[in-house]
Amino acid sequence: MAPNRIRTLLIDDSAFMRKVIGDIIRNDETLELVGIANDGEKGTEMALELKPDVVITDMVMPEKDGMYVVQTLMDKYPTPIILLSSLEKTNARIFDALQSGAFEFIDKPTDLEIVRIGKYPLVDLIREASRTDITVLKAKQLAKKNSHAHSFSQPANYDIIVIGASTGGPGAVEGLINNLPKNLIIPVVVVQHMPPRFLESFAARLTLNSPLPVRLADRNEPLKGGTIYIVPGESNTRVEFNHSEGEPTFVFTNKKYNEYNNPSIDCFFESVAEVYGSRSIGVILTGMGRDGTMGLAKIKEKGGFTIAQDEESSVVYGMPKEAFERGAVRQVVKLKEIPGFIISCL
Amino acid sequence: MGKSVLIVDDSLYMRTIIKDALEGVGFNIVGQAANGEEAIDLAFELQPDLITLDNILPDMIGTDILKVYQEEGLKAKIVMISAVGQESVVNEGLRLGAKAYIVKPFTNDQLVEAMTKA
Repeated sequence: MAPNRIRTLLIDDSAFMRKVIGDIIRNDETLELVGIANDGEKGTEMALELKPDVVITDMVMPEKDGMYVVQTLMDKYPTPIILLSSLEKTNARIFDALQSGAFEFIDKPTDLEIVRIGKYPLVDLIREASRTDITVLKAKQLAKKNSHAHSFSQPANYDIIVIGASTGGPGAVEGLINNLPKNLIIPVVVVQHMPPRFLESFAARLTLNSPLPVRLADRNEPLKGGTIYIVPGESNTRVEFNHSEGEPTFVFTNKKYNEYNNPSIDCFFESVAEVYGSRSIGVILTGMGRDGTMGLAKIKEKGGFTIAQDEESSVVYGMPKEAFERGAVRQVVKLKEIPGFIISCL
Repeated sequence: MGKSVLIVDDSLYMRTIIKDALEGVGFNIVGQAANGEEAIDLAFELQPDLITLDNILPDMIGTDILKVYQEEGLKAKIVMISAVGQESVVNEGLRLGAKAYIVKPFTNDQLVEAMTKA
C-alpha cells in the first residue's frame, strides 16, 4: 500500500453512482476511499469524524443536498469538495455551492465506456483538489464591491478586455466583473471552461450582481462596449472584423486546439490579438492545464497588456503559472486587485 | 492612528480603489477631491500628512496644483499618479516638490510602497 494516499469520502444518494464513482477511486492506487454515505447529513457527519482530504458529493439529493454539505463543511471543517452534477438535473445552485467554497463540479459519467478507458477526469480533479490551499476556497468572495463610475480617458487606451478561466473560475470571474465600473465603455469577453449547458445558467447568475449586462455571445453578434459576453461551449469562438458592418463580431469555429476545446481560451485570445492587437487586455485566471498561454502570448506579442492571477489567490495555480513561466504575462496581480488594475490601464 | 491622506482623482471608481488599498494597511483617509478646486481647498482645510494626486483632472493638471501647494507652503507630502508615457510630467512633479510617484496601472503594493517612501 502506497503511503500518503489521498483520503476521499463519497456522498451520493444513487447506489449505482456510489458503485461507479467508488470503483474509480478504489481502482486508483493514489487514492483511498475512507467512507461512503447516501445522504448529505450522514456524509457531513462522516467527514467531520474521518477528516478526509477530499469530499466528493452529489449536488441533488432528497434530504440534505450538496449545498448543505458545502456550507456545513466549509464552516466546521473546511475541505476541498467536488460536486457531482447530472445531465437531467442541471441546477443553478451549483454556482451558489462554488461561491460557498466548493472546489469544482464535474458531470456524472453518462457513458461508462469513457470511465473504463480512463478518460473520465475525476481522478485528476481529486489530485488537484487535494493540493489546493483551503484558505483560498474559504475566502472565495471578494469582500467589497466597487462598481462606481470611472472617468475614462477619451478615447480609452484599450478596446477590449478578455478573460480566460477554468477550475475555480466561476467564483473568480464573478468577483471580477462585479467590481467593474458601471459605465465601462469597452466590451468584456469571458472564456470559462465549463460543460456547455451550464454556461447559460452561469451568465444568468452573473447578471444578478453585475453592474453591466451579461449575455452569452451569439453567432455573428457585434461586440458592444459596456457588455460582458460569455462565450458558449458548443464550439470554439473567435472574434473577426466584419468588413461590411465595419465592426468586430463573434464567429463560431470547429477548429480544434491542443489544450482544451469548446470553449478554447487559446482560440479566442489568438483572434483577439489579430483583431484588436495592442488595444487588448488579456487576463488568465485560476485553472488546471495550459489553455490560454498561447493566446495570451500572442496578445502580448502584438503589444496588448497581459495579466495573470497570482498564486496565492488562485484555486488552481496551473494556467496562470504556465502563462507566467512562458513569458506571456506582463503583470501578476491578486484577484481582488485585478478589476482596479485593469481600469487604471484604461 | 495611521497617517492622514487626501485622495485626489476625478474617478470615483479609482478613489474607491485607492481608499480601500490604503485603509487596508492602516492609512486614515480624511478626504477625497474630484477636481483641482477641491484638491486645493481640501488640502489646506484638512492639512493631511499625504496626498495622492492624479495628474489629469477636469479643471486643472496635477503639476499646476503642485505649484499652488508649493507657493502656499502646504506641508503635506505628495505622491503623483500618472499614466504611462508621461515621464516628463513625473519629472516636473518631482521638481515641484512631489516626494514620490506611481505610474498607472499599479498594484496595491506599488501604491503602498510609494506612499511609505514619500
